[in-house]
Amino acid sequence: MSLQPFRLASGGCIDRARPLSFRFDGKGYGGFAGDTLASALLANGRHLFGRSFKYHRPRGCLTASSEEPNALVELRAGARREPNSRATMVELYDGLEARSQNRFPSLAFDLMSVNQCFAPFLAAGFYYKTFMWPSGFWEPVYEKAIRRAAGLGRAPILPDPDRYEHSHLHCDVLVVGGGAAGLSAALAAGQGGARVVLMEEMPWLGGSLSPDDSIDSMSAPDWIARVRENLAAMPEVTLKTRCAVFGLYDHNVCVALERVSDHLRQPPAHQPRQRLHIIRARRILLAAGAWERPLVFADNDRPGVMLASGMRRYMERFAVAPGRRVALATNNDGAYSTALAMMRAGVGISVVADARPEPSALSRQAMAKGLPVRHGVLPRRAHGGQRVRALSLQTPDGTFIERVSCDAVGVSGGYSPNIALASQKGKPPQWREDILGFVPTESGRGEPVSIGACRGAYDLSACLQEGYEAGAQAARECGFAAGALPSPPQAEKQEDGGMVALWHCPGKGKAFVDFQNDVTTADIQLAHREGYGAAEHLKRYTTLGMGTEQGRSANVNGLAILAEARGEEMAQVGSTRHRPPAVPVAIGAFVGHARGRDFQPVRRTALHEIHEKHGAIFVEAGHWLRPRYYPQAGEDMNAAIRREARQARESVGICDVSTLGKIDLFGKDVAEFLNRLYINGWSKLPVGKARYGVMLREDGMVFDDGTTARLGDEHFFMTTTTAKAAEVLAHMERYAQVEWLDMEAHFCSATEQWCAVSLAGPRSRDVLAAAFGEALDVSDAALPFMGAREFSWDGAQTRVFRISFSGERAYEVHVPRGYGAEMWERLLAAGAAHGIVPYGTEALGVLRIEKGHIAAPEMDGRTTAVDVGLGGMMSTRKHCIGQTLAQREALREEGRPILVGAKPIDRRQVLRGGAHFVKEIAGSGPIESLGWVSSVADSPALGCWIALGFLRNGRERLGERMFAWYPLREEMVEVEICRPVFFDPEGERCRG
Amino acid sequence: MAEITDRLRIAERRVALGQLFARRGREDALAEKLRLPLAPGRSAAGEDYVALPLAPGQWMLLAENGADGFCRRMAERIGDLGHISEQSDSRVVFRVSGDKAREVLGKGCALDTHPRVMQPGACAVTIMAHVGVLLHQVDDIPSYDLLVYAGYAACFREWLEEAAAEFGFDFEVAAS
Repeated sequence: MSLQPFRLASGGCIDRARPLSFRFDGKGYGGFAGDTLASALLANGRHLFGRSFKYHRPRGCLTASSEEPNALVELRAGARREPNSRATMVELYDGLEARSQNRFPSLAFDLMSVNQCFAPFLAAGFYYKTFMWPSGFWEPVYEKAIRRAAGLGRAPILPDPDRYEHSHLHCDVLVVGGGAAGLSAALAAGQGGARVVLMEEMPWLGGSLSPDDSIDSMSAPDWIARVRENLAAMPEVTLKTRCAVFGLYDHNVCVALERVSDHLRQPPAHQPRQRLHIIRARRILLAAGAWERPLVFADNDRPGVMLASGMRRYMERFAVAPGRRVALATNNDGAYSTALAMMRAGVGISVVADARPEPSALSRQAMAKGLPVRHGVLPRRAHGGQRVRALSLQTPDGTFIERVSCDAVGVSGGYSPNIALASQKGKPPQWREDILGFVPTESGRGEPVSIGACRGAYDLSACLQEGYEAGAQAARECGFAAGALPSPPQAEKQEDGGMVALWHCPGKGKAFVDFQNDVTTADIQLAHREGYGAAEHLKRYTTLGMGTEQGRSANVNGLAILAEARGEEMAQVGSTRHRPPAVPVAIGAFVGHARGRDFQPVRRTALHEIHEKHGAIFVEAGHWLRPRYYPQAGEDMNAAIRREARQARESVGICDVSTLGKIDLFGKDVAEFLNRLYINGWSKLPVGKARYGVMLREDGMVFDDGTTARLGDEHFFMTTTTAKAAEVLAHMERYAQVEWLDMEAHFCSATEQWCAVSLAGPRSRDVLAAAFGEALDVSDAALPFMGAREFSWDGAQTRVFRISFSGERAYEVHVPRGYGAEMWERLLAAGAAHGIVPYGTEALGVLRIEKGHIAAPEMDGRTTAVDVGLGGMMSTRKHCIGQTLAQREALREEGRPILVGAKPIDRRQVLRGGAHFVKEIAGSGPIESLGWVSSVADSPALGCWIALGFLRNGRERLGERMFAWYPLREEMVEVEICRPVFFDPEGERCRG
Repeated sequence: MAEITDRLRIAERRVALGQLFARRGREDALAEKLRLPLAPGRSAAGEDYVALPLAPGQWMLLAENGADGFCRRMAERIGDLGHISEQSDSRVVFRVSGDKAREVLGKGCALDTHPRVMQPGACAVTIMAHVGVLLHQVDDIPSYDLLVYAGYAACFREWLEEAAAEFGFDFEVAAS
């Protein structure tokens, strides 16, 4: 373990009994439990953390908090590599490994820092200007070069080994932020019994409270510990640390990221790395605090320049001295508490340059203690390369005063209320000249309420007071009486010494406003000169306020410089609107469980395991997995499909059709309900019969098809296609609930209740008889074509329909899902003598294409009943959905593409779905497409490929030769147009 | 009723189910005859079943025992007052029970299951892990029945087990 030369001898919240070791850029260091990566590196005297985004300037860490713009590192390695981790937010664990980013070959010697010399060419908007021509260079040269030079960190390329999960939380009062105001609010809200959730981004509670602060006559740490106990004793209060609310939406819905295991080397068993909370709160209290602003002066980005509040946190929480001799520059009282803390810690102070011309009470106090305070003095330039060595000072009018040596510079430019959440919704934030900051605009009742520093109340006693009042008020609005606590927590009121506006200091050299995006004062002035003078335009043109830092330290300074350039007040310039996420969130957290195979749920039929045993290759059909084909040893896909289809034609095959939508319908008006849904008539369908039906959409296009059977006077059973099952049910619900209120037609999905198989082939009746002959009369007299019967075997209520999609004699057998496997085995055993084969969706497709039966490719939402050859089904004795609009002129036009068949002239040639029907060979200008091929099959029955398609004037073109042209592969196949029924055109086989 | 409340338990169960529809205009008569709840969101116990309201004039009936023939028997009792659709095989019931049950559900269920909002008997149709769920609070351990379509049961169970893993749980497949 190496020395930690900047570690203070005592104090801090670190656990000195638990030393930890870690590596940064391959070098080993030591730290303590309770450290962050930033505090541990600083303790080791390491102030250079990384290189900046554009100019590759050396950078240290500016803050000790979540808004850190500079200290972005690559954390962990391999699949867990995580770029752009803020070193100030990375909690140290033993064995931690991190690397600096954006440097080559090394952090200390970065070749790309030569960019600084080209700075004049790299000003705001440079990539819009510099890389204009030649345009052929955009992608191959410029983009590659820019991407290599810019960018931050490297995303991991291996799959993330960790889990992420979602969680829904509900509460009466959500308190965002666990500082003084938030804790006070949670106490007040929770004591009446309201359900309270408090979320704090940091691992600790207390926010910016310092050990010097005193509340209720206790030191702040003691008070925080007591509040934690009190809250823990309230059963309806939930405390979450390491949990940042990053999105605020309508109806008080919030989203937060909990870093469950980020502070560990890897997540414990069954724990996620991160958890995304979706919070629905009746009341929201925002106690998000304020950010200290840096001062803008030449070379203000040198490592060692740090926010005064950050320095104080490093000393007080982490027991790390920011330097040996520190120069402080401020325009307000903020730097003095840091200065006094430094005195106590024994850190030398070379100067406190206070821009205010007159002393404040606090600065007088500091002077009395012997601090070298100088009023009316501004920073001019930070000197040094990889570590600041001196600070030169100047008068407000820019006259050089002197150069003061130092090894760190603490800056305080006042505070910006954290409006990142409040400004995501509601009215734009308002400028308050008295505190020189934007505050949230008051919103309506029930809307989020900002309390404490995030609405500009910086005094501790005020934060405690208004937090308490807002907490109690929110609980009251949720119906909870005030609790037992007699009064708000008390703290001594402090006098605010005021501040002077100091948006940027005079002087030459790069003065950074946005450290993360390398935006300087000059860039903002340039943007204004070039016409990007609106706040939102400035952001897009210069990238001010983008990235992980989201403008927390940069925005107000930047907007003030813009206001100055525009010659206007801040109130006129306004602020950009913040958008979620307010903190960086890994994509994995948004995705949660839904990744890889879990991207969407999988739906399996009752026969899934049986299909697996048969060696099925599955295909996704919506959520369903359906057997596509069942290859046997040595068989490729095409051979398997041919075998399955041939066997169904020649003997018997069995196919799982459980995925078809099934709907049970009941009521005295169901027949009329079906009349209105389908184009054909249903009034005369007798019990025990099924009928094929076609539905239209309201616009007259074919919607879906299927068979519906009548099982009783008031009981019908509908089947739909697999794809449209849910849509058809929703369509029916809408008409039943909204349009046809007078009808008694009740229905519900029965898809999952029934396991269904289609038994198809000339031997299908024999198989059915062998399997169920004892319970069911399968004779053609008892079960004719389109017959529907219910029977029972072994206690299984079974429905059988003699319907055919394949064109063969076929039976659809439906049994309750739990009997599915048993039915399958029984039918397979009964069919063994006939060589029964299971067939998949591919063979199913072959069989139906041979018969010219339409399926999804023919019902693509552009075809009418007439187009698909079913115009004759349309009943004229009743009205149905879509009937009126199907009469539109364009839909009745002569020559509309209608369903035809096509066969290749050269019987060896392959047809392809999606090909165009064309008359002439390509090559001489545009070709007129006469139609398209919708479905193709390699037909065993015909011994060649066949196609269904839609062709203009199709009826007149029967027998014509033309080409099926597939331009993507430049394939041209000569085909003959024929009727769409290739096999058994009279339908004798299925009628028997 | 289970006495042990400290250990999370998940049981995959099969029960008899029937979706019940009242004939138009006979909703009250049917509800009275079968002791069906008329208000949404609360179940009511009938003779040998629990009725969950699904929509006006529509209920899901759950029967623990005598799954075979439940719907046929009910159809006789319903007579001309309505219709029932056999659904016993359509759904798998996952019973999640234990004082961590709310937290497990919270990983996928957007509804508020806090006892101030949901008590035993509360029921709702919702979505968890992208799968439609009919949720029913059974007791105040608390135990919840989650009815999911049988085709989704295997993948829903994977999600449920992952959600419950951090608390440790016993899994049982109850016989029908």
